[in-house]
Amino acid sequence: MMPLAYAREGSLVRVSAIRAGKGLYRRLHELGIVEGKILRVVKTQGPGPVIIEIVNNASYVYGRVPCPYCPIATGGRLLLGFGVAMKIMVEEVKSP
Amino acid sequence: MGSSEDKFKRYIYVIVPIEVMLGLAYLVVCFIAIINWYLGIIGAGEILYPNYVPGDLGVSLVMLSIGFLMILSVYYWFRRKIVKSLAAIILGLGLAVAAMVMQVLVTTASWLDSIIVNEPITYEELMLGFLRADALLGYIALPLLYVSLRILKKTIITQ
Amino acid sequence: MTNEDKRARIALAGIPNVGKSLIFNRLTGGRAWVGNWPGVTVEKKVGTLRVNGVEVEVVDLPGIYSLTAYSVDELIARNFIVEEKPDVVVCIVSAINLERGLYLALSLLELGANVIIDLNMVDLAEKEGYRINHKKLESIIGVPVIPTIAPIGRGIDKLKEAIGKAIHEEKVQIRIVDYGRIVEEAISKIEEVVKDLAPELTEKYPARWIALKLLEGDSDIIDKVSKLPVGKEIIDKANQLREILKEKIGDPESYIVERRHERVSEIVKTVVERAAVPRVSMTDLLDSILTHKVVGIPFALSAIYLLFRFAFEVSTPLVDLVDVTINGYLHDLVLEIHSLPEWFTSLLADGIIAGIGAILVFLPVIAFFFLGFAVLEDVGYMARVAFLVDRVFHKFNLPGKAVIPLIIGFGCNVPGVMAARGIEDENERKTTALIAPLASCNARLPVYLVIGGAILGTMAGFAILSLYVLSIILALIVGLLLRRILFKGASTGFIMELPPYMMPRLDNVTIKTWERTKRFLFKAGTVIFLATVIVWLLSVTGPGGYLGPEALEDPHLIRESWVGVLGRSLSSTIFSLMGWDWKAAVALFFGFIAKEIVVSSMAILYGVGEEKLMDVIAESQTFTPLTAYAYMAFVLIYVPCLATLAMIRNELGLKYAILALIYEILLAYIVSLSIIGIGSVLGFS
Repeated sequence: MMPLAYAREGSLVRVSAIRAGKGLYRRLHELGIVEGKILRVVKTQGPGPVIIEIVNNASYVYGRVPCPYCPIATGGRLLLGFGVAMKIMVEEVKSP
Repeated sequence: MGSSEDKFKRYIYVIVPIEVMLGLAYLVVCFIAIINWYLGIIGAGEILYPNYVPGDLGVSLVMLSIGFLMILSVYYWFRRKIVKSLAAIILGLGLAVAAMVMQVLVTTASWLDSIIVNEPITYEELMLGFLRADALLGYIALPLLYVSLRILKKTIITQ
Repeated sequence: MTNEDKRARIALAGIPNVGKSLIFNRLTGGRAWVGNWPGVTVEKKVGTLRVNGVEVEVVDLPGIYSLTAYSVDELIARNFIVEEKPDVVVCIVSAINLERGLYLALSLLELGANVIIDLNMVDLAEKEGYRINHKKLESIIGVPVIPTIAPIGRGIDKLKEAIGKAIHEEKVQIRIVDYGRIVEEAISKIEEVVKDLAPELTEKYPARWIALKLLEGDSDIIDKVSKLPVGKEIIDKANQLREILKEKIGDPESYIVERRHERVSEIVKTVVERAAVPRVSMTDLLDSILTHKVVGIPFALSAIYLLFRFAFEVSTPLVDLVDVTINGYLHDLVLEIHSLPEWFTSLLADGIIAGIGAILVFLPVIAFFFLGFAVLEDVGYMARVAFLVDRVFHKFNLPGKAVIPLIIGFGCNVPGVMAARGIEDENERKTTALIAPLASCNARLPVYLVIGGAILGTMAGFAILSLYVLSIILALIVGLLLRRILFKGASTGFIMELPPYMMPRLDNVTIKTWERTKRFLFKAGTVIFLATVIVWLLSVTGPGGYLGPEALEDPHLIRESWVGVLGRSLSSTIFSLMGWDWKAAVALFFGFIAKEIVVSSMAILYGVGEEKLMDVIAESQTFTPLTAYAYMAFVLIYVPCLATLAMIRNELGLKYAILALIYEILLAYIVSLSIIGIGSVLGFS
């Protein structure tokens, strides 16, 4: 378990805990960052501010060739400042 | 990927040397601009290539960024980081075109200005503006940018 | 409600950045009435739409993420839906931000609203490599889902149709989320109690929703319920159940929110279909470089430099146009009217026309600056800039987002201070608003150019650059001090949406540019105008009576005017340490009202037109290079101009406006004296 600020760029992580005051906690919740949610770390100035995507696994695939199982971003991208990224605890996941 | 892959290869073997040369050209201009700025400060009178390179720190910064991005693109290419390489060249060319457009706009504006304040400028002075180094190199960058974007759209990019 | 009087009302809801404004425009044809929500400074937009022969009122709700009681915007939306009972609530969901949009939609459904979902930006989702099966979504969620692409107007007709239909057919989905056996039990128990004891409440709000909010601990509902005579009983019951839940599942509020998000995820998983071949998007491509901490910085600095170039150099013909026509032609024309008394033509020409000219001469630069900035903003680049500077800003306890008001402040401080509103954390917002005036605004530049050009010669350019750098450094340092001393508190953190890069849209850009330019034109503009007239008045009159317009051109006469008297007393007292003469002192005094006036006051005091001012100052030897530089620094830092102070008072209150005034004067003194002190020691005098 480590702060999101230290997560590896390009990795998928699961939120395990949010160590924040009430105000931040609520804002993160509103935006969909809750315990158990899976995020992709798009960019990090590690350790530093982080750009994340909230991902989901679409089940149905259209097109000719089924693609490798990869979650796609459906929750938009968020930029989380250094301070915020330090308060979100995550674990890396191999496959969501 | 068929023919788009060939196009891709063709792109690379022709464009890369051009990128390197253009990138170096920008870096040279940057260097001269800094020297000219210094000469201006100490009041030396004559500056290098006064018709082409102003003694302006801001210009040198932009030239530096453009050249740096172009060289970076080649560096990433050889490190097999294709995405970063393409990003660098697009941004480098994009910035180059932006700088050129700015210079053209400024020259045009000064021409309009000369009409308004009734101090007509000569054809030569106008040309100096349009043929300044950042504009000149930008004219070269423009078609390159167009080509790069076209190829990008066909091979890698979704939008 | 629609009876036979053919009038209906709908509301538009959505999270920020989903294209709500554009949809509003498409529906109402741009005919909108803008006001305020009662009691708050939040903007309310209302328009009308005709569908199926019925005239429909369209109310634009503020952009919100959910319907909690934690923010003013959310309460406004909530109360509107509950009290005004719109016939339909159109929830605009962005296809590329589905999870957050659907979360809001579910919250609206739980509130009992008659929702239809406008799935906007489907083309962008396609570009990212996936599609949303809107029919499936419709069947799962139980309300109409209409895909649209707002910028080209696709789907808008179907949307209007659906609105027309929904006005007559109400579809309500209060039980859209299942919270699990334990919580659902608690919910039904509270529902029963509420229906029993306070049935009139259930006419406004669904009983289930009340139960949910009581379990969540919603302060607004608790307040409303406790005001009822039977309120205490209901609240006690709710608290009892909350305690029980706390033991079994932990904090009820968090649990409920999480469960709602889970439901959203489930739905999203079922309705999103991805393209077979994953491709790289342009946004990812560009971001790989633009957000790189080393490579991204020179690009950002270059972009800002080009922006400045655009603002200052391309606008010159317009600036000179204003100068030549108003300050030149018109001014001289009026002075030639001999049929009117001399004092009147002078008032018109040197007071009023000069005042208008003073404003308009700055307008092109400011407008161009804001135009360029708005383009960068609309493309999405500004968010990346905030990302790049966040690490540095964090060391000063400020969010990276604070860089945006500072950059805007380089154009004009007034919209800069206002831009601080975008920062969520209250302490950080106040700090940013107070340091924004340190940004070297456009009005100070003429002072640098004249004084620097006159005294510093070839070093002028470098000196000016150093002042811009100094302004940023000071802003950060003062920001840190303010955060440590006055606005303490760990920051609630910096979170920002990072939109995909998009081609800038003309309507967005023009609106943003006009908004900010408007602030300068009307707020700062009126002050500048009045200041010019006042300066005129104080220059042509003195303790000895009316001196006549000749005083504007005669340095000896000027000494006898109020302006001269004022200046001499100032320079012999507070400015004596810095070695600035009385003319410089007076200019500073008027600069307090509006920094744009400094140069024109100096011109009057030296008795010359502004073109000759530089030479005259150089010859008069009233400045040494050191004192000149100190003067320029003083102008940079001392007091926010009157319009900016008014804005600070507007945003933060009188107390902080006074604080800004005081700290900036002190800081200006300290810095100027230090410059002179250090300079003398180093042998520069």
